Amino acid sequence: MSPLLPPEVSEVLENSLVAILTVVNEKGLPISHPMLPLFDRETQLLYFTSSILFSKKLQHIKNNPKVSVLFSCREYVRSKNYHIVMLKGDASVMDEDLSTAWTRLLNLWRRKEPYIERYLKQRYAFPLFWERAIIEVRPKTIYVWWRGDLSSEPTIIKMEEAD
Amino acid sequence: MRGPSLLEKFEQFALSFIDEDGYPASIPVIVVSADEQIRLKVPRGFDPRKLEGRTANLIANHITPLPSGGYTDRRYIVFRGRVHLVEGEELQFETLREYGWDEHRTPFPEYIEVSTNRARAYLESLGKKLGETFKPQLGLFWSFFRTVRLPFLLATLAGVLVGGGAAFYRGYFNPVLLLLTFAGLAFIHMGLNLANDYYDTLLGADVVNRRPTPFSGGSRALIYGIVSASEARILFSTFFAAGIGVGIYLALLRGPLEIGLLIVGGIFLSYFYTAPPFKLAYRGLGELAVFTGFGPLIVLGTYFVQSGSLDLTGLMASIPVGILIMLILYVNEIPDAVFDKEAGKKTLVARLSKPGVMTLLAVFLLLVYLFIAFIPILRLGPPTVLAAFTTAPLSLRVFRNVNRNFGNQYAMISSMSLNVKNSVITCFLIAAGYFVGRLVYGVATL
Repeated sequence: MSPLLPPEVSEVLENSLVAILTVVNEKGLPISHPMLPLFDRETQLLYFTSSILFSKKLQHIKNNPKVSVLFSCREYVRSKNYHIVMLKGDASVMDEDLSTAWTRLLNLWRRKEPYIERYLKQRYAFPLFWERAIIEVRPKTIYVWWRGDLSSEPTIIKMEEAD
Repeated sequence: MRGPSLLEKFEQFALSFIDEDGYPASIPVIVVSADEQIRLKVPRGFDPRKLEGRTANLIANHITPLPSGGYTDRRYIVFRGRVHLVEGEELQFETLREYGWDEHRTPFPEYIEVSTNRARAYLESLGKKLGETFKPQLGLFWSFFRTVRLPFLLATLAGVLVGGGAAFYRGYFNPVLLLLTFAGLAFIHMGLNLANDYYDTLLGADVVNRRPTPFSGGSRALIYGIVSASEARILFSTFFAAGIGVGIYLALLRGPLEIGLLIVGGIFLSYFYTAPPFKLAYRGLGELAVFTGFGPLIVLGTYFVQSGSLDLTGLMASIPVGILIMLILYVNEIPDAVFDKEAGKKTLVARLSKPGVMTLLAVFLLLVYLFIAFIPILRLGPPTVLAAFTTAPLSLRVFRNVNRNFGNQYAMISSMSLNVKNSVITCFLIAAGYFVGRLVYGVATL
């Protein structure tokens, strides 16, 4: 298990509907993608699933695992407490079993998009969309702007030190 | 996108750049203005002076969270460029390139469709790396369902039931032969669907179609990689061979010449519907081919297997069925027309303007009921076939629905669904009319 994140940060990660995942392309430039974040409190790891239809980011992560993820915008975070969180971390792509491996994250996904089951039942309609790789992000450095206040210095948490 | 609309249409703004530690950083930014230049303020913790001249991207994102959970109205824009320090601690973003997605402009199914090649390439490279062949996994049933377009077999079933019903009305009924006829025709229909997909993919008509629907644009089984081209060839050849095999058995049993001719005609229309050199569908003959195949060939063929004769009773029963099944194709061609034109597939719909298509649709629908009315008038069937007139209001709804949704590929899904229902129910009512007629009026003699 990874080191424990502060509970306030876990709350934001668990309840965010969207996060900005930034990867590094082959030219060393940042590329950002809005994605549905899935945080597993047990493993303290952050997950995304990416259809192979939108697979450029997977290749980018394979070439350079350094990523950052931003959780911001009050309306997108469905929890009582709100903080802006940006984390930097190392990502890995799991794509040996594109058809079923990601379904282990379905419980986390369902919590954020309750209608997902309905679409999954029509898997035959969009077969390639449901071939999905898992992106696993291990947080290394976390920046927290408490209560979303950007005019205050962020708290910086180094996860390796906390281990 | 610039100006106030950038600030109105998006709430989440993030600036991403490669930080000093080599990791990308995505920081929340406040967009101060977005008129001619985009001006930003970065949060505390990041020194704007250190960002001077950096290559970065600015993402503007929007979703509308739903009270029941989840979200809708997805859109985002990514601006790629450089940041420059201006007065105070503000940054100016110099945009060099921008891209994005708005689901109201490019509906999600289309967004998926245009990314198909990337997915196929990913599967291929993964396959090479792991020494395996990767395909989208749907399970055997759903792969079969999708590849052969299983629900469309209702069109064959409808024709077989009408042919069987007309023969029953004349006093002939062999349920085993009826089942065998359906099995043989179903094989040929599945061969037709697969050969159609194979050649439409090869000739580009399905490939250029960015807005397929469950009713139009082919099964996409080849495009999505559910079956390979060689597997498709093997499958359609096998289906045709199985259909011919059943046909030969029936021919030996009931009449080699008549059934032989019907098989040759059926296979010719099924294969050359899209296959070169005839490519009937590409020359505006697809509708005639479908009318002939699903009308006279299937209905009359079934009628002949049951009764041993080719006569006006069977022929008359086949005409409304042929028109109704042809209408399924005709309406399904409407959303495809723009892409069919691009691929040089000159279907009847692709050749006509909207008023032309709608006029012809009205004429075809009227002809269906006219021919149904002629069945009892000419004493070629019982008055009970007139039960099919109960779908006239549904036909009217089809016409209005198609007229309303014409030009909107995704809205046309409801029109196509309604049209399929109308065609199949009308055929089933004609068939039921023959069966009930025999029970009410007794066996009819010529």
